[in-house]
Amino acid sequence: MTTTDLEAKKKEPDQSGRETAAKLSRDSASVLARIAAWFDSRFGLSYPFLRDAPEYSINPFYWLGALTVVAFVIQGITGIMMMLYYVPSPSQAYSSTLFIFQSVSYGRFLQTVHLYTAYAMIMLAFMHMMRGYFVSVYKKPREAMWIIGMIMGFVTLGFGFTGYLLPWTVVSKSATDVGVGMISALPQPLSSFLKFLVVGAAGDAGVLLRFYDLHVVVLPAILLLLLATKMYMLEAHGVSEPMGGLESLPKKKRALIPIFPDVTFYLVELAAFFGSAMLLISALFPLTLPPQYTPQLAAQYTSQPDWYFLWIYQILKFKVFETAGLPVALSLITLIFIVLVLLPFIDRGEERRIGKRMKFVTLGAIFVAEVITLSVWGELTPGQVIPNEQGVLVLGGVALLVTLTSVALYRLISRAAGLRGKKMATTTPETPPQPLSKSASVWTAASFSILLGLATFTFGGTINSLVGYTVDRGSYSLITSSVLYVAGLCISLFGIAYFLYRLELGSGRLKRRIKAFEAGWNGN
Amino acid sequence: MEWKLSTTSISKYSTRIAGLFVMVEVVSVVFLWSLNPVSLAQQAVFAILLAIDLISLAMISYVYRSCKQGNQINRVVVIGSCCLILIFVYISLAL
Repeated sequence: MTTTDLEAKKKEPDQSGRETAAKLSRDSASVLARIAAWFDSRFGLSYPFLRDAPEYSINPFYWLGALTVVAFVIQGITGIMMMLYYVPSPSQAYSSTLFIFQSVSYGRFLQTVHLYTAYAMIMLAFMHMMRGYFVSVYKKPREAMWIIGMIMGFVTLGFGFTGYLLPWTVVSKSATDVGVGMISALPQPLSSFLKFLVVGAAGDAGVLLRFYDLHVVVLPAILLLLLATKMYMLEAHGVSEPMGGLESLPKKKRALIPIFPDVTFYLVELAAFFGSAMLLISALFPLTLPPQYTPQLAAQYTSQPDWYFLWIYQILKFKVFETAGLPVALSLITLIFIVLVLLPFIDRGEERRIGKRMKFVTLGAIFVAEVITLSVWGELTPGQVIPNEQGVLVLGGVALLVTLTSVALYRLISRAAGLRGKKMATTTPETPPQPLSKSASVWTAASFSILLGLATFTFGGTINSLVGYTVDRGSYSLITSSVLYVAGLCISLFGIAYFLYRLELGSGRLKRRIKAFEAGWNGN
Repeated sequence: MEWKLSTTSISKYSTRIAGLFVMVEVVSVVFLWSLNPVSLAQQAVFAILLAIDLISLAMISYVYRSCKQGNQINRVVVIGSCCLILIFVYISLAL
C-alpha cells in the first residue's frame, strides 16, 4: 500500500461523513420544505393577502385609520394589564383602581397611557372621518366602507362612554348617570332596548357590570369584526385615488410599492412617533384620580361628560330643550348621525375635488366649527342653562362666519383659476353674463332672507341689552349678551353688504340703474 | 446648503446613523430596568425612556427604508430626531 492509498483511506471516513451530512441536510431541508408547503397549502401563507400600495399613499393622512388601530392595540394591551387587578363591583371598583394606581408596578403609567390613548383614538377616528368627508372617499364604490367606518366611530364613542364609568369616581359616575338618564327620553323601542342593554334591573351593580362587559368583551369583538370587514374591503378596492385622479400625479408617485417591507416600515415609523407622543403626554400630565363616588359628594358636584360628548351635552343645555324638549334635541342629534351615515347616498355627484364641491365642503366646515365651538363653550359653562337667543346667536354666527369665509375663499380660488385660464388661452371669446340658475336664485333668496332676519333680531337684541345695561351696569351677563348681539349684527350686516355687492355691483346692475336714475334726474 | 445626503454616501452614513440609534436604544433599555416601578416620579421617567426607544426605532426603520428604496436620507429628519431625543433626555432628568 503506497502512501497515497493510505492517505485516501484516511480521507474516506471524512468523505463519507460529508456525504452523510449533506444527505441529512437535504433530507432535513426537504422535511422543512414539506412542512412549509403543508402550512402554505392549508393557510395560504404565500398568497399575497395584502396588495401593494401606491407611492402617493406614503403620507400620514392616508394612514389615520391605521393610527386609530394602533391606538386600539395600545388600549387593548394596557386594558388587559389593568383587567388583572380591576374588580367590577360598586364596592371594589374604586379601591381596585386605586390599588392599580398606587401599588401595582407602573400602574399609574398604564392608567395614564390608557386614558390618553383613548382620547387619541377618538380624535384620530374623528380626523379620519372628516378627512374622508372632505376628500369624498365615500363615493362609489366605497359607500359600504364609509358606513362601516361610521359604525366603527360609534363603537369608539361607546368605548369612551362605557370605560368612563369603570373607575367609579364622582366625576365618572355623575356624568354616566346623566347619560343613562337620557335613554328614557329616546323614542320608545330604542329606549327600551338601550335600558335592557345598559341598565338592567340590578341597580348600580348591574349597570357597572354591564358597562364592564360591554367595554372589555362586546365592543372589542364588534370593533374587530368591523375592522376585519373594512380591511377586506380595502383589499378589494385598494387605497383611494387622489381627488384629481391618478392623471394629476407624476409617474413616480403612481408606482406601486410592496406592502412589506416598504409600507410596513413606514407604518412602524408613524406608530412609533405616535406612541412616543402619547408617552410624552403621559409623562408630563399624569392622571390624578378624582374622589370616590358617594351620593352625598355627587350632590355637590356639577356633572359634566368627557370632552368628546361635550358638544352634545351643550346642545341639550339650551333652554328650549329643557325637560319636554329633550326628545326633540336627541332626535336632532340622531338625525345628524343618520345624515353622516347615509352621506354617500346624499352626495351622489361624481366630482371629488374640493374646489368643485363648495356646498358639501362648506357644510363640513360648519359642522367641524360648530362641534369645536360647542365643546369649548360647554367646557366654559358647566351646568349652566343656555338662553335660546344666545344659542342662536353663537351657532348662527359661527355658521355664517364659516359660510362667508368659505364663499370668499372659493371666490378667490376661482378668480385665481380664471386668471390662470386667461393667461393660458390666447384668445377668449367674450360671453354675455348668464342669468342666475333657478337653484342659485332660491339659495340666494333663502340666504338673504336669513341674513335680514338675523340682522333684525340682533338689532333688536342689541338695543334691548344696551337699555338693560344702562339700568344694571354691573351685570356681566348683560355685557356678554351685548357683545354677542353686536357681533351678530356686524356679521349679518357684513353678509348683507356682501350679497348686495355680489348681486348688484358685481353684475353691474346697480351701476346701470344709477346711470338711468341720473339720466332721468338731469331731465334728459 | 444641501440638506440631503448624496446617494453615493448613503450606505456609509446609514450604517453610522442606524448604529447611533441602536446604541441609544440599548442605553435607554438598560436605564429602564434600573427604575423603581412603584415610584410615581420614576414612572414618568419610564414613559420618557420608552418614548426615546420608539423614536430610535422609527429612525432605524426610516434609514433602512430609505436605503432600500434608494432614496436620500433627509438630514433634517435625522437631526430633528436627535434633538427630540436630547429634549426627552433633558425632560427625564428634570422629572
